[in-house]
Amino acid sequence: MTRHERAILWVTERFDGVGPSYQRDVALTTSELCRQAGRYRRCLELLSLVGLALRLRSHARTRDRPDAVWSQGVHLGAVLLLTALAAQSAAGRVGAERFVAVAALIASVGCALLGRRSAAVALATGAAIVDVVWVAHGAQAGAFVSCCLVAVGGLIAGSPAPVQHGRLLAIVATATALAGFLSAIAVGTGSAEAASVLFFAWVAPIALVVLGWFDPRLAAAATTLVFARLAASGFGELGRALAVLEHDGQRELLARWVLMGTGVLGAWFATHRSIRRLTRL
Amino acid sequence: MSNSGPLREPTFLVLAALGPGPLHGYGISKAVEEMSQGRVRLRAGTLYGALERLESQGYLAFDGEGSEGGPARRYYRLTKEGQTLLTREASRLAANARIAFDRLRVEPS
Repeated sequence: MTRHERAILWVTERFDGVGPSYQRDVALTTSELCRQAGRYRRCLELLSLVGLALRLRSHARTRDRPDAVWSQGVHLGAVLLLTALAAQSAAGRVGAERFVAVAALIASVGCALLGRRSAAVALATGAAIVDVVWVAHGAQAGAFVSCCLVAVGGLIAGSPAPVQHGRLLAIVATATALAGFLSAIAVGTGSAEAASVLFFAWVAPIALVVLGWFDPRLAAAATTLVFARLAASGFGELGRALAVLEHDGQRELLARWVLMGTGVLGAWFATHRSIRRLTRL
Repeated sequence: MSNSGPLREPTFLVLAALGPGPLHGYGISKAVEEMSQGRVRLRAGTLYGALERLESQGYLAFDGEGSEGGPARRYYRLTKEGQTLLTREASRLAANARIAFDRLRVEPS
């Protein structure tokens, strides 16, 4: 068996809501289609299978109902947001209070993934209180609390998908936060914080919107992430940006606000289009 | 069975491929390539995505497993609703084509 055939089997074995005979049939057909194909076409075939896997997973867990897509997507976005906050906090300057906030955020993610909503909400709220009272000050504390509020709203408004590997995902979330801490030791707090912001503010939302073409819950999760960024620094900035524009003619702040607002609308539009595409023949 | 708009080309060709009788996934892919004279090559993800949507909306049905000397394959067949959908779409495309030829005053090649 070639490496490509092993990859095909690995993807098809992860199809949700279908039987083994369906998985075998898809793997067989793909292998036959790739038999005389070059490397480029084989890669495209494999990517198309990944898209199908995401599509089947979304179908199995939401039955293509838009309310279920939004509900599960918003919940996933809240979990990712809490993970992002934990990683960013861990990458920031070290202190006992900071560790308490990070631990509360990680525990909140674990509870959310294991379906314990009340505990997750309480822990996320606790992390926000610890941060605003002992750790951050001024705009930084405002941004952190805004993100926590969006995450808590997402946990309350959304509903968890029937996750089969909740514990594994909780371990991954913890590892992500620890990676923030280790990168702070390795490259310094400034670089580590910048890297985690770059990843969670840009790379993750863009990747989620792209994958949301197949599984709209991921695009809905990206909407939550980008909205949190807007809530954290954008709402307060609009008035300031307009005032600065009027006095000094500087456009950077306004451009930043417009970019974030466009990001929220773009992610929402991608979710909407993807939901419509689910049942279109 | 909620479809009311025009079909996408891969969906139309998948339905047309199943017109003569049941086929398995690879057979459908080859039939589509042949019907379109090599213009449309369905990727496995696109093909099985279309099959899944058509099956869940009642236009196709699973027709059992069979093998022709090799491993067992899943066969699909058109349902009555699928035949109606294909006929309706073919009529719509033919009517549009007739209008275009009339307006251009040319004969179909």
